[in-house]
Amino acid sequence: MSALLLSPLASGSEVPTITGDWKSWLILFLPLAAAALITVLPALRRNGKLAAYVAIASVGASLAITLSYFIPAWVEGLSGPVTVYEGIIPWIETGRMQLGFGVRLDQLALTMTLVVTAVGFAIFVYALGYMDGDESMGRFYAKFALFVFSMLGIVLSPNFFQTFVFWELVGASSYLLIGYYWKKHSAGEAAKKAFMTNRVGDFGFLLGILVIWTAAGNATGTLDFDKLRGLMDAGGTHQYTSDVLFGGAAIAAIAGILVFAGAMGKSAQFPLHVWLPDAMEGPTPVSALMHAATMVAAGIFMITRCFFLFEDTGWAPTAIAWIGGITAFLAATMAIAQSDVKKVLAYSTLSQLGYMTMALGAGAYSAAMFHLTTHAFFKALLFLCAGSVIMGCHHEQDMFKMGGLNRVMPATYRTFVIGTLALCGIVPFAGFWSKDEILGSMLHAEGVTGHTALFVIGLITAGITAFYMGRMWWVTFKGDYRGHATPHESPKVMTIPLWGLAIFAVVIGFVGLPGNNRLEHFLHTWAPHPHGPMNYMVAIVSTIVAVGGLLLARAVYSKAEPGTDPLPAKLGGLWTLWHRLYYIDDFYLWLVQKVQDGIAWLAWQFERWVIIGAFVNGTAYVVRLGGDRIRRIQTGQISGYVTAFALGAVLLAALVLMASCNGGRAM
Amino acid sequence: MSALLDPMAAAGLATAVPLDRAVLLAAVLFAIGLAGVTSRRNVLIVLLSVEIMLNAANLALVAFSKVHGDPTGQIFVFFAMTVAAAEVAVGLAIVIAVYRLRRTTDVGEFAALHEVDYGPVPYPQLEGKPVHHHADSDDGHEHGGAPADGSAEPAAAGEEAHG
Amino acid sequence: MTEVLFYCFAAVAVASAVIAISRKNAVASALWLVLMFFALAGTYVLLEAWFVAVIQILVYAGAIMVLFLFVIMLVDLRSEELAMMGAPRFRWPGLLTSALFLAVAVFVVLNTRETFQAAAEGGPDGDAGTIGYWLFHRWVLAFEVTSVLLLGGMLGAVILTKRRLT
Repeated sequence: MSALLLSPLASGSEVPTITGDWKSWLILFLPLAAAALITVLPALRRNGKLAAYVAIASVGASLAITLSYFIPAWVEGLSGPVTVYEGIIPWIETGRMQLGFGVRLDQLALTMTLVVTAVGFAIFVYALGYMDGDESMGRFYAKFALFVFSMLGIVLSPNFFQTFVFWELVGASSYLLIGYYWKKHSAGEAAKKAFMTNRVGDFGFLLGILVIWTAAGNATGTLDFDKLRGLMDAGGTHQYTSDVLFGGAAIAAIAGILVFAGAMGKSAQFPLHVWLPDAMEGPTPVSALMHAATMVAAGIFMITRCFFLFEDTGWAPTAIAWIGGITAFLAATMAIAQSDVKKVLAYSTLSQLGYMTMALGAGAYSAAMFHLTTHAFFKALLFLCAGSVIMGCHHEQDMFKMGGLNRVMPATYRTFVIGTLALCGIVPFAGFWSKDEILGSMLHAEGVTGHTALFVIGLITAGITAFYMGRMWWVTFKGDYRGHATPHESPKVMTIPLWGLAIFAVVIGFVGLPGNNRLEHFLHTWAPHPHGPMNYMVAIVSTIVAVGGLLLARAVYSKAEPGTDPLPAKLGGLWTLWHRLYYIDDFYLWLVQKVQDGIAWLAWQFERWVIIGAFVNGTAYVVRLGGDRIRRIQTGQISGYVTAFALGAVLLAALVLMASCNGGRAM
Repeated sequence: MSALLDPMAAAGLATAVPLDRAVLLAAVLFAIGLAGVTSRRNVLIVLLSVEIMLNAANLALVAFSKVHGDPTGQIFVFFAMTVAAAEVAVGLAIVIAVYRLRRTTDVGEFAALHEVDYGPVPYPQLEGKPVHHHADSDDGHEHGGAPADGSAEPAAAGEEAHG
Repeated sequence: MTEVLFYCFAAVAVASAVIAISRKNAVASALWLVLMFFALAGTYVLLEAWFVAVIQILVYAGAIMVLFLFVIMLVDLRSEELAMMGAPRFRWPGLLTSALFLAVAVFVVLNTRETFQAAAEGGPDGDAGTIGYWLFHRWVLAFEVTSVLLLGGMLGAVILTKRRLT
């Protein structure tokens, strides 16, 4: 049933594609099956552990199938083109619109799928321990599995339309999971905030898709990534121009920015970043999987997917890079002023996402994907450590009430250190390689205005990153315990996934070694990267900055009063600004309350006076008035009635008789 | 025809009546009767005027019977008169019955089938107030009831005024 | 000669009709109406409808008007006159309608004058024998029904005017 289709690539070499591959559908639908089973069968719904096993099994199976595709593909990629596996059924076919639904496994999708399923599997296992004792674990795992399904739907999607559908599904899963502890009012509010903010971004995304659709409609009615890429590929030379598809850079830039708006919403870039810290209301496994590793990375993935849109689009890459840079910097400063462990990590995620966005702006797509991969592992690791710490300190989340945990929770401590070093970018841990590649590409990005300034911002942010991670390291784990509970280490079901992720945090960086960047080579068809040589200056400077940040943090906090933060005193107003998140949340609140409510009030007045008052009530009034007036003809006066009757008869007679008289004979 | 059966010829009245004038006369009488029916207030005069109208019709019938040379017209005059008699009898009986009840023969007083004046037409309330998160929910009930009340009351008042 | 007589009778009829509907006193109206009936009877005679003429006097003037006068007397005259004092006697919509009718009728008759000339000669015999013949031959059913109608009218009148239906 599978046909070997050879679709010509740009430079004449052919990408072997196998269509009709339905095994890949299992990757997508096994988690959905688990979610459905848990929802439908009461036995699973009530028995949390059983539901957990079903969900873990489904994700594990997806992981296994993904590996069965990935490993041969990797080997293939070392020596030649990689086979693309497709399983697409025609879905909507009307007129010129040809939309398919299904799965396309190319190198980019394979990489991302592997990340999602691997990290997902680890977190699913971890959650078995974390959520132990929770009364509705079945509901949790059902929603979690649904999320995995939605995320994979985005990754495996062959066209914009399916991406958008699953985009919204992911948003819905996020809403469900953030609001998991629905009895807590703040959780519900956070879920709503996340969904609303996402929605704003999605609106831009939809507009972008429509622009692309209109543009591509002139050529062929398609939203397929592969076909669009072919349309933009001028002369098959891998040099992408916007003339054929968009008729010029102006429209292309608009389309690109609108599509990026969706990424801004999903990947929480400034100014749509406000939902991510609030999303920490959800359980820690949720924070780890969705708001660190995968869902927020969906935006980055999507932009990489349609990278060809951003080639030759004038000002769009500059805007993207600057938005990323601003996000990275602002988030890092806000992280310094947080005392909740999960909030620190949330802002850290925002900051790292900013880095990835910067790389996208610079055109270094494979660098962005590389950082996405490494970040997924070490950020998930850090979140799970935080979860372990929270559990160990009996649901305490304030790091200033912790301390001395390095002795009590050794496994957590050690994996945390590995994760921190990876995040700060200390050689040879994973973060070093990916972050350096981004910084290096920023330095060389000629297409972006002010790229050197962005490089400097990125460097400073790296220092701040190291500082707040060091702060967290010291305050949480070192010193003596300041809290009220008796901390203990987490069970094996939680620590084993920690070690699994830690190993990856160390090792995964080596696929992207400069000079032998296998990942970039693997992805090159789908995520090109202007290749620059390894810049040793960048590496050295960034390492110095990172180490300096860590040492500074140690200096400040080892001398500080235990249980207190010396920063507010030292930084004063600046600290308040960061602690209040630059008053952005307050601004949005004002916007909604005053502006949006004002507009709503206007609309209400219009409806009230014009629609209800004039049209509805007015019509009723006129009818009633008319009826009242006409009713008064019935006076009850018989002579009146007789007169009317006689008059009518006379008029009728007049009509008939005079007509026949005049018609019949001339007078 | 013999002289017995033709007194007109016997009397030497040869020329006939101008029949168009006869019909015209009928029309005039009918108009006069109509004027009386529609404008007099005394119900007995109204009945009188009806009789005038009936007579006018009879005259027209007779005239046309002469035009067509057909006695059917006169036969129908006979019937018309009979019916008129019955109608007058019953009509006057009604007048007596009503007079006994109402002590009046003024047509203007017999207006029980009149329409009641309900007063000014109220403009509908502007429903659909915006939802404010207040504790009380009585507002909605009040407004929903108002229009119904407004229309019921004047009806009762109107009936009493005309009774 | 017939014509002149006709015009005389016509004038009397119209005049007495007009006077009849314009009196305040109902008895006066009734009596003027009787005069109109006599004038019409005269007209019928000129039209050679002798039976109809006689029936006109017997039934209308003799029976119907008597009944009218009885009822008018039954109604309290004085109080009626006083009550009618303030009310306007004629209402213009009615007069207008009647004028309109008159206009239409005059117009029609004047336009169709020619049709009235034919068959003026040799008219029907309006004597009792002819009428009787036709009444009992061709129109006997209607005749019988009319008698039932009279019975009904009689009953109705009696019932309506009874004081109490015991």
